[in-house]
Amino acid sequence: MPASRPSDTPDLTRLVGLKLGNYRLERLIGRGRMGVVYLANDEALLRPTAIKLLSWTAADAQGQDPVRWFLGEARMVARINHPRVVQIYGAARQGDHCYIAMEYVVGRSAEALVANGRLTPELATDIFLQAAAALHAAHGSGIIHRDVKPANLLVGADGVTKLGDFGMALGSAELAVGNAHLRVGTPYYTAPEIWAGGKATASSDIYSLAATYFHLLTGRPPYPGPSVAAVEQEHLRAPIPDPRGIVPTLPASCAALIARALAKEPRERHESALVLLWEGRRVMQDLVAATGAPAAPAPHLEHAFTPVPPPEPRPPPTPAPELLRSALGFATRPFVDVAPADDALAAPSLAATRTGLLDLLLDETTFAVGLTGAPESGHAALARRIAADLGRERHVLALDLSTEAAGRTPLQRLSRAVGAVEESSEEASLDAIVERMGEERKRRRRPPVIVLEGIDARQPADPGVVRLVAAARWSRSFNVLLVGGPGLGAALAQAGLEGGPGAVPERTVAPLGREEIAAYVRGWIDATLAPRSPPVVLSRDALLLLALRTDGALERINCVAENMLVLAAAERRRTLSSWHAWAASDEERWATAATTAALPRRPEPWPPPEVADVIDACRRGAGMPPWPRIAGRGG
Amino acid sequence: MTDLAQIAKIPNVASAVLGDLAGGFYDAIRVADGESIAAVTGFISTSLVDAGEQLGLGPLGRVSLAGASRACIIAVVGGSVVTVSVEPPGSLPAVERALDTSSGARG
Repeated sequence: MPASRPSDTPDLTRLVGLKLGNYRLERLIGRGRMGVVYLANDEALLRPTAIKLLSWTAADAQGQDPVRWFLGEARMVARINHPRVVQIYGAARQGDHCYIAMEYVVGRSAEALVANGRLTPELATDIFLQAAAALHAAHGSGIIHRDVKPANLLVGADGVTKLGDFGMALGSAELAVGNAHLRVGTPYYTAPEIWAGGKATASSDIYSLAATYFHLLTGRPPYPGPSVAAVEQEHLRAPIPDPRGIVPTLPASCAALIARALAKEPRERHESALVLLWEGRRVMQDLVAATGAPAAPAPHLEHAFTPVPPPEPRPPPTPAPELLRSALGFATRPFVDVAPADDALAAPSLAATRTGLLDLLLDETTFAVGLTGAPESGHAALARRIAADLGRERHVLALDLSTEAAGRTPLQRLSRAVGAVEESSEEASLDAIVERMGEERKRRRRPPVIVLEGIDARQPADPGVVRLVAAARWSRSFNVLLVGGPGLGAALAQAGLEGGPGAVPERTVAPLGREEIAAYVRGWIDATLAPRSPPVVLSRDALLLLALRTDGALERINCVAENMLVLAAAERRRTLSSWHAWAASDEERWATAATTAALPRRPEPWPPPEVADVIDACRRGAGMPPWPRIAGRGG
Repeated sequence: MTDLAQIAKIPNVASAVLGDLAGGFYDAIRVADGESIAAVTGFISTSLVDAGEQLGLGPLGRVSLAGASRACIIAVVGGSVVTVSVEPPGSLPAVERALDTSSGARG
């Protein structure tokens, strides 16, 4: 039995003028199951304050100490500390009165608003979004609200909505000892599993919020049965109503959100209030797009953003190294990227990969795409090129996950990159990213793109990357371009991405074929030679050896081909021959070396027998006769 | 016309290289770097085949180049390219006639 049981229950509705601590009660403004609420004046801080006074009976307390229960609410809410949750100033007991002092929201409840008829979709969605943010914060603090309904959403005069009345809420301790199965809440908004005697969970709060959203959108709850029993049966068994049956102009995304959040099975609902929030933002985008009206104020989460700079244009071409300039007439440095020109990729397969990837990114049904390739295939460079191309129209944010991060997670690094104050938790970082991306989408009317390079596909992907992809899917605020080795989809699936290995469509940078290598090398040389310079010619055997040595891997081609030019330049020759292709390093770039003294020297005669054998093998593969043995013919 | 041994017997022919329009290298007589010559003359021939078509010359047969120290005949026969180096350059017309006679004789 409760340790502190008052002898008589006083009439709590007649306490105007009473002073509790610093608070002078001024006006009764509400009554609830657990007590009454007064508007009071904080005589120390001179601000209006809501004072919630406990009234209880043994039945209300359900076998628990009501004072502890009451103060528990205050402690729970106090630890949420979120701008969309009604703030707790303090809690105390004075005589027979237990009270909580809390933030007074000047405005009306969503229940009062909807009593005059359904809200505009924009306003209903705005309230919903803010409530989802509050609910996410509560869940993040281990608290299940258990009574989400229009009456508990307080809409301020400034448009700010706050989630209040955590009187029924349970913290993690209570959830652990088994109180979560007690059915509380308001019938119209109570989840099926609670009706069935199951435990309250974050998912049941999501259901209640979706039912509330339905009510705000349509002017009636989803299951408006004539009795509690009828309402219960509808929650348990009736088909999920489509709000477009009442408001036909609602976007399909809105109906889809409602359908998912009101699923009978908790596992079929949104996995968290954060995911619900993201999908809600997408609905808001659709509403704004449909009406052309400015968006209702987004639920600001008080992230301090700094402006994101516009995407950097492609850097100017690098001047040609001295040897290539003076000996061969190069104006700019060749083989430093995946293509010599802005508008075209010399290798058709690269161009096709780029086009396919851009098509995927422009497809509104795609939220994330992968660009994969073997090491040195050039997929990372191609990704940078694509990012630069996209940056002309969209906001692009690129992060290389293979670089040092000083202990920061990918999401924390991205959060910093978008200009948000560094967040301590993964979820807060992710939310900051999603919010920032949503703002960019609104600003440019195109979804921004986050490019994540250096994903190691040999092991399960970082959970933060999976969350980011899921956020892209649900928020539709941005696209993700994932860049890594083959097997990227499997790595994401292993880390828990919904939809399996095929959830993120991939394009792979394949090794270049022999003729593609030829076109690629010629393309670079032609584009970087100074105007009116004589051509530099690539011999057929040089091409065959180049293909052999590089396996068509673009980064290796770049290295070997440039070194071939360096060797030829040192010999003052304009023809790249099999000697150059054989001797050029595939590891270090010679173009920027301080001296050419250490360059290899061509043996005479060329080729020696062991090299001729290799060339013959290459020639056989290309359908050519063997290298001519001309030693006995005066050659 | 593509028999380098016969071509090499023509007076004042310093060397000869057999290649193709793609720059492939197939044979050489009296030259150390036939590969590079085949690459260059393959490149030139390909460019001139295009130019000849633009000028209405019909299929390209031969191009002669003369420098101060040496002359060169590039003959295109089907897909093959024969490069004949001539020394001194003043003997270029005689070598051209010999090549014509040689190819005409083989008919």
